[in-house]
Amino acid sequence: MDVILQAFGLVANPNVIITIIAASIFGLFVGAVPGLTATTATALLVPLTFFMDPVPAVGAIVACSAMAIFAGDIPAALLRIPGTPASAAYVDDTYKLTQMGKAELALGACVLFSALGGLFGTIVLIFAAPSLAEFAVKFSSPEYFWIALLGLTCAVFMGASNPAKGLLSLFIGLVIASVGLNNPAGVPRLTFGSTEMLAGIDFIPVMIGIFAISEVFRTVLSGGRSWEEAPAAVGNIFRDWGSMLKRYWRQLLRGNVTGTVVGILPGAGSDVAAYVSYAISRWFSKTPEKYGTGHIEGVAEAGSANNAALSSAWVPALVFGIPGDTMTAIVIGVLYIKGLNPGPTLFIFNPQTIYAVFLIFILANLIMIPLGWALIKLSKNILRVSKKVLMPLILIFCIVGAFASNNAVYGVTIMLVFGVVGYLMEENGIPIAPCVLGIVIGPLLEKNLITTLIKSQGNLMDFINRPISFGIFVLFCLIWVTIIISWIRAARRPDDEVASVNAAD
Amino acid sequence: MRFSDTTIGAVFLLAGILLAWYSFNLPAIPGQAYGAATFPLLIALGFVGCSVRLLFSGVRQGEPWLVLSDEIKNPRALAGVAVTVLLVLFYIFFADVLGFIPTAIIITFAMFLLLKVHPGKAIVLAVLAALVCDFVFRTLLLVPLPFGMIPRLPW
Repeated sequence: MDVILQAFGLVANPNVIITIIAASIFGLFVGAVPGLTATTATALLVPLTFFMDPVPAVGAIVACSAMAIFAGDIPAALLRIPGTPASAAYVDDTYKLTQMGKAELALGACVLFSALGGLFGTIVLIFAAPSLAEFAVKFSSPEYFWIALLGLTCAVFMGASNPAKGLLSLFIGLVIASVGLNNPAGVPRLTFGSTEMLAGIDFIPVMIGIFAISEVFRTVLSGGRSWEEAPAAVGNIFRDWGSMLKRYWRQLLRGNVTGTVVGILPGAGSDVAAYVSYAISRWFSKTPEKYGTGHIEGVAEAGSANNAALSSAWVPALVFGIPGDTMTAIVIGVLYIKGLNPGPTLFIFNPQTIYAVFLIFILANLIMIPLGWALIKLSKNILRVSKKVLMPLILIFCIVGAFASNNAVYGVTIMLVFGVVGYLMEENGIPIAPCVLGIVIGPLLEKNLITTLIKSQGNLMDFINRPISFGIFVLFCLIWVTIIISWIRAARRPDDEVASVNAAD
Repeated sequence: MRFSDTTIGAVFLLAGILLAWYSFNLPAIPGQAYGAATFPLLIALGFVGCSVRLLFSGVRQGEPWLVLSDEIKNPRALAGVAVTVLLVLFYIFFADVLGFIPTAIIITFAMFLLLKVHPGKAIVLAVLAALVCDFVFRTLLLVPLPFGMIPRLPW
């Protein structure tokens, strides 16, 4: 109780509150602009957090990411351009509703279920993380090795269309993570004689490059074309809340649970959660044929799932230092900078900070309702801001942000290189997320792999001869078995189709 | 700019082999079988595996080695990307000499013109953006943005 009071003290500070509100507005704006994702919003915010105290810094990121995920629904509903990938799962439903003149119903559902999903995920985070941390204190290097590997597996195979390219992206990330002196032997590795690279490749400029600069390139290539349609006017979004809650409470609960579970899996985040729970919702629905035609049922379920996943993705991030998605990957970088090194001991030495972060989660999901309402009212004007005007401003902001990461143009160079890399990867269908998670998880994976190998003098049995590590290993094998089964099925399917066509002839 | 699976496979196969060769030459921890080279060697193995898979599917599909999208074929768009890269390089090499504010104004203004924003609007926005960035990052957040030839501003 004492700790929670201390946490209240940390949050109930005008600086913290103002920071959270400012970050929320920033997140809403960036999330609402099509093409700029919630991850971009977080990456752009990071340079500013260098200069804040730990609680406002982490709080700003929490608020910004929650708002951006919700705000992605707005252009999706009004223009059929999802602002973030997490909104893409149910874009057809919300847009069709807008076309039917029921934009307020669609957006009302987005606000309501986003907020409720976020709150549910937070509650799970509050209860699951500390108890998981108590358990995780017993972990040693083999356990961490398996968890890291589990996270990377999920990152590569959840939602990747081409596993070989997903793996390639992961290995690119691992190579980036290997640069520098920070390796078991302490020798300069892949530095090519550069003094600056001895410290490794700075994570923040990489993120700014991959997510923001690549988007600048894409805009320049397309000549800064803008979306043409003017969005429709939106009525009172609160009108249908009561009836929606009454009708869709089952979907809400199921979406919350699916979202939370997907979020807790290391390596899978809110976009995966939205797709999975939309599919589950359709599977269980009595009227599956209505999905994609302006039906609110799937929106309720997937909309609550993506925000629930956003909160619960923090569980593996805080307890093991293993990010659930690209956004928590950035968060881990910030936690290290702020001296809040993620891991079970964080809950022992710094519980008040963690509880303060939890309180900010609740706060952020509550202020989402009034701010979301204001954003929907202003959406006509925000969606009219052209990319032509926005991109040059984003470019200069990125340059300053990358420079601020270590106060040298080295950061700007990294940003530029990874802007080009990110653009080329996206163009060639190589997913970005595995690379980002590889950069964050890489050092953890290597450290625990080498430590275990040295401890056991190369005896591979030591990786699985402790009970917990064996348990995680079994889980890991199960996931691989499912992946391989789905491959075999996918490989068989074309043959079946050919066979059925032949039979029809 | 889309490369075929064959091209991507070939490039990363080469990268994997180079990485493995590089890792073999890393010094070992005396008396230990595992050290700095272990992890990159495993990554190199992964690169080779993925590339072989991509080469296999690429050769079977027989795509052209490089597909240029319409956007790339448009010389104006391509020049636009080149200019963007040059503008960032311009910051890297000249910010120290010129100072942050002039460099930022030049970069933003050039970007606005590139995206065909009206020059009057562009210059106002560029100056404003530079001053706001300078105020937020140098004054509030104490980032040592380079002064260059510009004297320190009064705030």
